[in-house]
Amino acid sequence: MSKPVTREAFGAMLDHAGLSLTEPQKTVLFDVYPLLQKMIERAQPEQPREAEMSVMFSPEVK
Amino acid sequence: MAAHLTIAEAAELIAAKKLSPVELTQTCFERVKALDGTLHSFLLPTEERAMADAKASEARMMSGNLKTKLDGIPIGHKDIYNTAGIRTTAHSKLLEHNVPTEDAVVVKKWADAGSVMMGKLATHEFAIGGPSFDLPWPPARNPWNPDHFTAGSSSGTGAAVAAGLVLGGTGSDTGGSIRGPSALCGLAGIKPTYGLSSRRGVLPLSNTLDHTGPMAWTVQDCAILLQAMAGHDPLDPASADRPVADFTANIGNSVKGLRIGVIRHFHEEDNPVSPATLKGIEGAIDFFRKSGAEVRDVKLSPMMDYNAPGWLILTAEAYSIHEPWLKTRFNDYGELMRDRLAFGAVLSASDYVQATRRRRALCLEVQAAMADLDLLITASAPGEAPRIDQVPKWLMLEKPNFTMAFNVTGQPALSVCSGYGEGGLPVSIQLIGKPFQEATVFQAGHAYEKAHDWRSKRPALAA
Repeated sequence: MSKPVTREAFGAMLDHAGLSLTEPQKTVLFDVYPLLQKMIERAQPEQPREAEMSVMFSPEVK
Repeated sequence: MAAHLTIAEAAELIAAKKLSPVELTQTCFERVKALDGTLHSFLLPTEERAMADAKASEARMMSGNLKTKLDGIPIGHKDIYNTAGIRTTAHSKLLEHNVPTEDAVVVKKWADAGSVMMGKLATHEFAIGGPSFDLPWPPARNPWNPDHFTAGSSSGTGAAVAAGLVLGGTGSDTGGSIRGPSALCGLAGIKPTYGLSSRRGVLPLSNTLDHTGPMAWTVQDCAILLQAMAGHDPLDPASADRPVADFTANIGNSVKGLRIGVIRHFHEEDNPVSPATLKGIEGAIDFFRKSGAEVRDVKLSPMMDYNAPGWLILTAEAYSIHEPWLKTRFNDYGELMRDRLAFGAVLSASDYVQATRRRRALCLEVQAAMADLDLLITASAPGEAPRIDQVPKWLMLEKPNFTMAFNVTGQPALSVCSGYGEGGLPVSIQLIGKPFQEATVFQAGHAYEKAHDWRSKRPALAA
């Protein structure tokens, strides 16, 4: 489980990325951010790092 | 009515000199003028260009020099496909006055095949922000009920084909943008294998998830359209360098002996579908069994496990594409587009890489599950189209959709109409094939479609 992010820290992340959002715009995103965090946790690979040599994509996966 | 002909039917009549491409094009434009004030499927009709295309086609018809089955067929392009000298906006204020100097590869291929370009079709902003009411143009409406959503992002193509304003059109699919509107507008639409058709000249959203593909009234028409758009493009790094199959080769063949896996937990547990959608899936399973196919259930990871890396990769890649504008013109995007993409600013590099690693594991999972299967079946959408003013802004984060899984794996996936729900709007099934086995997908989709009478019904508004 990732550490909860405060509203202030979330705003700072957006500022650091160079986006100029109003405070209400930041709040809209902050309110939904927990759903994104859940997705990040769900997308963690199950296999150990040494199980693959590199990340490659092909629809005919090898 | 000529505008309700399928591409296959119209092509046969044109070849026999029994249908004039000029008259067919005029009929379609009359319908655009009568219906598109309600549907908003066109951002830019190109009547002058279309009539020139149609006259050239008619001359070829009269001299016995038709190019392909698409010669003389009225089509439209989603407005993220570049068209030389013709405005291409992505439905966005940011490109309101953008006029490309070159055609997208697919646009040129369809033009070279003799098609008639009717115009540019509505999209969700940059293929992700919609349905939006704060853009320079309104969103497309569903011809089955204009108060309802078309789905997106190939919303204009969905509405225009269902209403018989064009006989086919281009879509693009990054998380379901061909199959979603095909499902909710009652069409056939295929996201081909990743790399089968070029993306060059199509405004990108997510480099490793973007696909180009066709939408039409029938499965057979999709096969004809895909034939004219597939092929290696050395200037698209994702393009597959391999011979193009004959996508119509298996059309009309029996499905006897095909092996089909039902991803039952996708549509019964992970995102339970409406009774009408479930009935359509069960009806399809019954049809395939009775036709001699082997059908059995198959178990994959939960659908959300596919959606999570898909949406993270999409968000990160789309953010990287739009970052300069997001930093300088944030408020020139519509609210849905800018808010969805802004999350790219708070994803870490590790989040992106881990998502790509998870993606690979999921590709391997499906490959193993399909080792002794030819096709998979599930829903394309959970049910009938909702009202256009009741589409949740963050639905993609809340519930898994049925389409993203196959953007993640890159496999061909076809949406086919499977009947109509309680509200009178279409429902659908999704057939998924192995990479580059589109011909098998079309074979099964066509057999199913021909065995039912769903194609005899058009939206009342467009009848």
